[in-house]
Amino acid sequence: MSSASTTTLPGAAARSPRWQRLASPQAFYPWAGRLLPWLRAAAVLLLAAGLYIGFIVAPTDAQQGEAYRILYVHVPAAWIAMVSYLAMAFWGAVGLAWNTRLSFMVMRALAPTGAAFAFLCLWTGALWGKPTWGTWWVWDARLTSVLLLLFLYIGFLALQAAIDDPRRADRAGAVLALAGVVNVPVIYFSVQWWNTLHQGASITVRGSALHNTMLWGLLLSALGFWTYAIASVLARARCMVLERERQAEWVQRLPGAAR
Amino acid sequence: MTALYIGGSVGLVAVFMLAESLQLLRRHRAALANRNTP
Repeated sequence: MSSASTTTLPGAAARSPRWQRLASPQAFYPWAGRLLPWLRAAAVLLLAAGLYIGFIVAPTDAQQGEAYRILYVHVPAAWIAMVSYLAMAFWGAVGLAWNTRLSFMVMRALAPTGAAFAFLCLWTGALWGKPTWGTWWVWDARLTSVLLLLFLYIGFLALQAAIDDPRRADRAGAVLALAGVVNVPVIYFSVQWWNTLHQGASITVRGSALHNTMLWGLLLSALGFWTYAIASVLARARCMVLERERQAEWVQRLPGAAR
Repeated sequence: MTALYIGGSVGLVAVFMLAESLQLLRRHRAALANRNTP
Protein backbone atom coordinates (compact mmCIF):
# COMPACT_ATOMS: atom_id res chain seq x y z
CA MET A 1 0.00 0.00 0.00
CA SER A 2 1.41 3.36 -0.94
CA SER A 3 2.06 6.05 1.63
CA ALA A 4 0.98 9.66 1.89
CA SER A 5 4.36 11.10 2.70
CA THR A 6 5.22 12.10 -0.85
CA THR A 7 2.05 14.10 -1.49
CA THR A 8 1.64 17.70 -0.34
CA LEU A 9 -0.92 20.25 -1.34
CA PRO A 10 0.29 23.49 -2.82
CA GLY A 11 -1.07 27.00 -2.30
CA ALA A 12 -4.70 27.72 -1.60
CA ALA A 13 -5.68 24.05 -1.32
CA ALA A 14 -3.38 23.64 1.68
CA ARG A 15 -4.98 26.61 3.45
CA SER A 16 -8.61 25.53 2.94
CA PRO A 17 -10.47 23.60 5.67
CA ARG A 18 -9.60 19.93 6.03
CA TRP A 19 -12.96 18.62 4.75
CA GLN A 20 -12.66 20.79 1.65
CA ARG A 21 -9.12 19.60 1.01
CA LEU A 22 -10.42 16.01 1.05
CA ALA A 23 -12.52 16.85 -2.03
CA SER A 24 -9.25 16.76 -3.97
CA PRO A 25 -8.30 13.25 -5.21
CA GLN A 26 -4.70 14.05 -4.27
CA ALA A 27 -5.65 14.60 -0.61
CA PHE A 28 -8.28 11.86 -0.51
CA TYR A 29 -5.96 9.11 -1.76
CA PRO A 30 -3.44 9.10 1.13
CA TRP A 31 -6.13 9.91 3.73
CA ALA A 32 -8.20 6.87 2.67
CA GLY A 33 -5.05 4.76 2.51
CA ARG A 34 -4.25 5.55 6.16
CA LEU A 35 -7.81 4.74 7.22
CA LEU A 36 -8.12 1.40 5.40
CA PRO A 37 -6.08 -0.92 7.68
CA TRP A 38 -7.97 0.37 10.74
CA LEU A 39 -11.34 -0.10 9.08
CA ARG A 40 -10.47 -3.62 7.96
CA ALA A 41 -9.23 -4.61 11.42
CA ALA A 42 -12.34 -3.07 13.05
CA ALA A 43 -14.59 -4.93 10.59
CA VAL A 44 -13.02 -8.30 11.46
CA LEU A 45 -13.23 -7.70 15.22
CA LEU A 46 -16.76 -6.24 15.21
CA LEU A 47 -18.11 -8.95 12.90
CA ALA A 48 -16.51 -11.70 14.99
CA ALA A 49 -17.99 -10.24 18.20
CA GLY A 50 -21.41 -9.48 16.69
CA LEU A 51 -21.85 -12.84 15.00
CA TYR A 52 -20.55 -14.70 18.09
CA ILE A 53 -23.13 -12.95 20.27
CA GLY A 54 -25.83 -13.40 17.64
CA PHE A 55 -25.25 -17.06 16.83
CA ILE A 56 -23.92 -18.44 20.12
CA VAL A 57 -24.83 -16.19 23.06
CA ALA A 58 -28.23 -14.70 22.15
CA PRO A 59 -31.28 -16.67 23.30
CA THR A 60 -33.59 -18.57 20.95
CA ASP A 61 -36.64 -16.58 19.84
CA ALA A 62 -39.89 -17.68 21.50
CA GLN A 63 -41.90 -17.59 18.25
CA GLN A 64 -39.39 -18.08 15.41
CA GLY A 65 -36.94 -20.47 17.07
CA GLU A 66 -33.42 -20.44 15.60
CA ALA A 67 -34.49 -19.07 12.20
CA TYR A 68 -34.53 -15.50 13.52
CA ARG A 69 -30.71 -15.56 13.75
CA ILE A 70 -30.45 -14.63 10.07
CA LEU A 71 -31.39 -11.17 11.38
CA TYR A 72 -27.72 -10.55 12.26
CA VAL A 73 -26.91 -10.53 8.54
CA HIS A 74 -30.25 -9.53 6.99
CA VAL A 75 -30.88 -6.29 8.90
CA PRO A 76 -27.36 -4.79 8.49
CA ALA A 77 -27.48 -5.73 4.78
CA ALA A 78 -30.82 -3.89 4.38
CA TRP A 79 -29.52 -0.80 6.20
CA ILE A 80 -26.34 -0.69 4.12
CA ALA A 81 -28.17 -1.25 0.81
CA MET A 82 -30.54 1.66 1.51
CA VAL A 83 -28.03 4.11 2.97
CA SER A 84 -25.48 3.36 0.21
CA TYR A 85 -28.08 4.35 -2.38
CA LEU A 86 -28.81 7.59 -0.50
CA ALA A 87 -25.06 8.28 -0.35
CA MET A 88 -24.73 7.49 -4.07
CA ALA A 89 -27.48 10.00 -4.90
CA PHE A 90 -25.94 12.58 -2.55
CA TRP A 91 -22.48 12.35 -4.15
CA GLY A 92 -24.09 12.35 -7.59
CA ALA A 93 -25.90 15.59 -6.72
CA VAL A 94 -22.70 17.13 -5.34
CA GLY A 95 -20.88 16.12 -8.52
CA LEU A 96 -23.58 17.58 -10.77
CA ALA A 97 -23.73 20.81 -8.75
CA TRP A 98 -19.99 21.49 -8.34
CA ASN A 99 -18.50 19.23 -11.00
CA THR A 100 -16.13 17.66 -8.47
CA ARG A 101 -14.28 14.63 -9.81
CA LEU A 102 -13.98 12.84 -6.49
CA SER A 103 -17.75 13.02 -5.81
CA PHE A 104 -18.44 11.05 -8.97
CA MET A 105 -15.72 8.53 -8.14
CA VAL A 106 -17.20 7.94 -4.67
CA MET A 107 -20.67 7.65 -6.24
CA ARG A 108 -19.40 4.97 -8.61
CA ALA A 109 -17.45 3.21 -5.85
CA LEU A 110 -20.61 2.89 -3.75
CA ALA A 111 -22.64 1.04 -6.41
CA PRO A 112 -21.04 -2.46 -6.33
CA THR A 113 -21.06 -2.52 -2.53
CA GLY A 114 -24.68 -1.34 -2.39
CA ALA A 115 -25.70 -3.91 -5.01
CA ALA A 116 -23.96 -6.72 -3.11
CA PHE A 117 -25.74 -5.81 0.12
CA ALA A 118 -29.12 -5.43 -1.64
CA PHE A 119 -28.65 -8.93 -3.05
CA LEU A 120 -27.58 -10.23 0.38
CA CYS A 121 -30.66 -8.62 1.94
CA LEU A 122 -32.98 -10.39 -0.53
CA TRP A 123 -31.12 -13.70 -0.23
CA THR A 124 -31.19 -13.77 3.58
CA GLY A 125 -34.76 -12.50 3.52
CA ALA A 126 -35.77 -15.53 1.47
CA LEU A 127 -33.96 -17.80 3.94
CA TRP A 128 -35.89 -16.15 6.77
CA GLY A 129 -39.20 -16.16 4.90
CA LYS A 130 -39.30 -19.90 4.22
CA PRO A 131 -39.35 -21.10 7.88
CA THR A 132 -41.45 -18.18 9.20
CA TRP A 133 -43.89 -17.36 6.37
CA GLY A 134 -43.77 -20.70 4.58
CA THR A 135 -42.52 -19.17 1.33
CA TRP A 136 -39.21 -17.97 -0.11
CA TRP A 137 -40.77 -14.98 -1.82
CA VAL A 138 -43.95 -12.95 -1.86
CA TRP A 139 -44.74 -9.89 -3.98
CA ASP A 140 -45.45 -7.58 -1.09
CA ALA A 141 -44.46 -3.91 -0.91
CA ARG A 142 -41.26 -4.28 1.16
CA LEU A 143 -39.79 -7.17 -0.82
CA THR A 144 -40.75 -5.71 -4.18
CA SER A 145 -39.30 -2.27 -3.39
CA VAL A 146 -36.01 -3.87 -2.25
CA LEU A 147 -35.93 -5.89 -5.48
CA LEU A 148 -36.42 -2.60 -7.33
CA LEU A 149 -33.46 -1.19 -5.37
CA LEU A 150 -31.29 -4.08 -6.59
CA PHE A 151 -32.45 -3.42 -10.18
CA LEU A 152 -31.59 0.28 -9.76
CA TYR A 153 -28.07 -0.67 -8.65
CA ILE A 154 -27.72 -3.09 -11.58
CA GLY A 155 -29.05 -0.44 -13.96
CA PHE A 156 -26.56 2.09 -12.60
CA LEU A 157 -23.65 -0.34 -13.07
CA ALA A 158 -24.83 -1.27 -16.58
CA LEU A 159 -25.13 2.41 -17.53
CA GLN A 160 -21.58 3.10 -16.31
CA ALA A 161 -20.28 0.15 -18.31
CA ALA A 162 -22.18 1.18 -21.45
CA ILE A 163 -20.77 4.72 -21.75
CA ASP A 164 -17.11 5.00 -22.79
CA ASP A 165 -16.54 8.63 -21.81
CA PRO A 166 -16.15 8.61 -18.00
CA ARG A 167 -17.40 12.19 -17.54
CA ARG A 168 -20.60 11.50 -19.49
CA ALA A 169 -21.02 8.21 -17.63
CA ASP A 170 -20.63 10.10 -14.34
CA ARG A 171 -23.35 12.59 -15.18
CA ALA A 172 -25.74 9.96 -16.55
CA GLY A 173 -25.17 7.82 -13.44
CA ALA A 174 -25.81 10.77 -11.14
CA VAL A 175 -29.14 11.49 -12.86
CA LEU A 176 -30.17 7.83 -12.54
CA ALA A 177 -29.12 7.75 -8.87
CA LEU A 178 -31.15 10.90 -8.16
CA ALA A 179 -34.20 9.61 -10.04
CA GLY A 180 -34.13 6.32 -8.14
CA VAL A 181 -33.65 7.80 -4.69
CA VAL A 182 -37.43 8.13 -4.26
CA ASN A 183 -37.49 4.34 -3.84
CA VAL A 184 -35.58 4.48 -0.52
CA PRO A 185 -38.34 6.13 1.58
CA VAL A 186 -40.80 3.82 -0.17
CA ILE A 187 -38.79 0.83 1.13
CA TYR A 188 -38.58 2.26 4.64
CA PHE A 189 -42.25 3.23 4.99
CA SER A 190 -43.69 0.36 2.93
CA VAL A 191 -44.54 -1.65 6.06
CA GLN A 192 -46.58 1.29 7.36
CA TRP A 193 -48.19 2.41 4.10
CA TRP A 194 -49.30 -1.02 2.93
CA ASN A 195 -50.51 -4.23 4.48
CA THR A 196 -47.44 -6.49 4.17
CA LEU A 197 -46.20 -9.82 5.43
CA HIS A 198 -42.95 -8.16 6.44
CA GLN A 199 -42.77 -7.08 10.07
CA GLY A 200 -42.32 -3.43 11.07
CA ALA A 201 -39.09 -1.96 12.46
CA SER A 202 -37.94 -3.54 15.74
CA ILE A 203 -35.50 -0.71 16.44
CA THR A 204 -36.66 2.90 16.31
CA VAL A 205 -35.51 6.18 17.88
CA ARG A 206 -37.99 5.52 20.71
CA GLY A 207 -36.43 2.20 21.68
CA SER A 208 -36.01 -1.44 20.74
CA ALA A 209 -38.33 -4.45 20.89
CA LEU A 210 -35.31 -6.79 21.02
CA HIS A 211 -33.83 -8.62 24.01
CA ASN A 212 -30.67 -6.79 25.17
CA THR A 213 -28.29 -9.56 24.06
CA MET A 214 -29.95 -9.75 20.65
CA LEU A 215 -29.71 -5.97 20.34
CA TRP A 216 -25.99 -5.94 21.16
CA GLY A 217 -25.32 -8.73 18.68
CA LEU A 218 -27.22 -6.84 16.00
CA LEU A 219 -25.54 -3.50 16.71
CA LEU A 220 -22.05 -5.02 16.70
CA SER A 221 -22.60 -7.01 13.52
CA ALA A 222 -24.15 -3.93 11.86
CA LEU A 223 -21.09 -1.87 12.83
CA GLY A 224 -18.87 -4.66 11.48
CA PHE A 225 -20.68 -4.79 8.13
CA TRP A 226 -20.64 -0.99 7.98
CA THR A 227 -16.90 -0.74 8.54
CA TYR A 228 -16.37 -3.43 5.88
CA ALA A 229 -18.64 -1.56 3.43
CA ILE A 230 -16.89 1.77 4.05
CA ALA A 231 -13.48 0.10 3.63
CA SER A 232 -14.59 -1.45 0.33
CA VAL A 233 -15.91 1.86 -1.00
CA LEU A 234 -12.75 3.73 0.02
CA ALA A 235 -10.50 1.05 -1.51
CA ARG A 236 -12.49 1.09 -4.78
CA ALA A 237 -12.48 4.89 -4.89
CA ARG A 238 -8.67 4.88 -4.42
CA CYS A 239 -8.33 2.52 -7.39
CA MET A 240 -10.51 4.85 -9.48
CA VAL A 241 -8.40 7.85 -8.46
CA LEU A 242 -5.26 6.06 -9.65
CA GLU A 243 -6.89 4.83 -12.86
CA ARG A 244 -8.32 8.22 -13.81
CA GLU A 245 -5.41 10.40 -12.71
CA ARG A 246 -2.59 8.12 -13.81
CA GLN A 247 -1.01 10.91 -15.87
CA ALA A 248 -1.02 13.39 -12.95
CA GLU A 249 2.34 14.33 -11.52
CA TRP A 250 1.41 13.45 -7.94
CA VAL A 251 0.38 9.94 -9.08
CA GLN A 252 3.68 9.53 -10.93
CA ARG A 253 5.54 10.42 -7.73
CA LEU A 254 3.75 7.80 -5.61
CA PRO A 255 5.91 4.93 -4.41
CA GLY A 256 4.59 1.47 -5.20
CA ALA A 257 4.68 -1.34 -7.71
CA ALA A 258 7.25 -1.35 -10.50
CA ARG A 259 6.34 0.84 -13.48
CA MET B 1 -32.00 -27.40 7.67
CA THR B 2 -32.39 -23.78 8.77
CA ALA B 3 -29.02 -23.95 10.54
CA LEU B 4 -27.45 -25.28 7.34
CA TYR B 5 -28.95 -22.46 5.25
CA ILE B 6 -27.92 -19.76 7.70
CA GLY B 7 -24.47 -21.19 8.40
CA GLY B 8 -23.84 -21.73 4.69
CA SER B 9 -24.96 -18.20 3.86
CA VAL B 10 -22.73 -16.65 6.52
CA GLY B 11 -19.82 -18.74 5.20
CA LEU B 12 -20.51 -17.60 1.63
CA VAL B 13 -20.71 -13.98 2.77
CA ALA B 14 -17.34 -14.31 4.52
CA VAL B 15 -15.77 -15.84 1.39
CA PHE B 16 -17.28 -13.07 -0.78
CA MET B 17 -15.96 -10.32 1.54
CA LEU B 18 -12.49 -11.82 1.55
CA ALA B 19 -12.48 -12.29 -2.24
CA GLU B 20 -13.69 -8.72 -2.83
CA SER B 21 -11.00 -7.30 -0.55
CA LEU B 22 -8.29 -9.29 -2.36
CA GLN B 23 -9.65 -8.24 -5.75
CA LEU B 24 -9.50 -4.57 -4.71
CA LEU B 25 -5.92 -5.02 -3.51
CA ARG B 26 -4.98 -6.58 -6.86
CA ARG B 27 -6.75 -3.77 -8.75
CA HIS B 28 -4.86 -1.19 -6.70
CA ARG B 29 -1.52 -2.86 -7.45
CA ALA B 30 -2.38 -3.01 -11.16
CA ALA B 31 -3.41 0.69 -11.15
CA LEU B 32 -0.08 1.61 -9.56
CA ALA B 33 1.81 -0.46 -12.09
CA ASN B 34 -0.06 1.08 -15.05
CA ARG B 35 0.52 4.72 -14.10
CA ASN B 36 2.55 5.52 -17.21
CA THR B 37 0.16 3.89 -19.64
CA PRO B 38 -1.44 6.56 -21.87
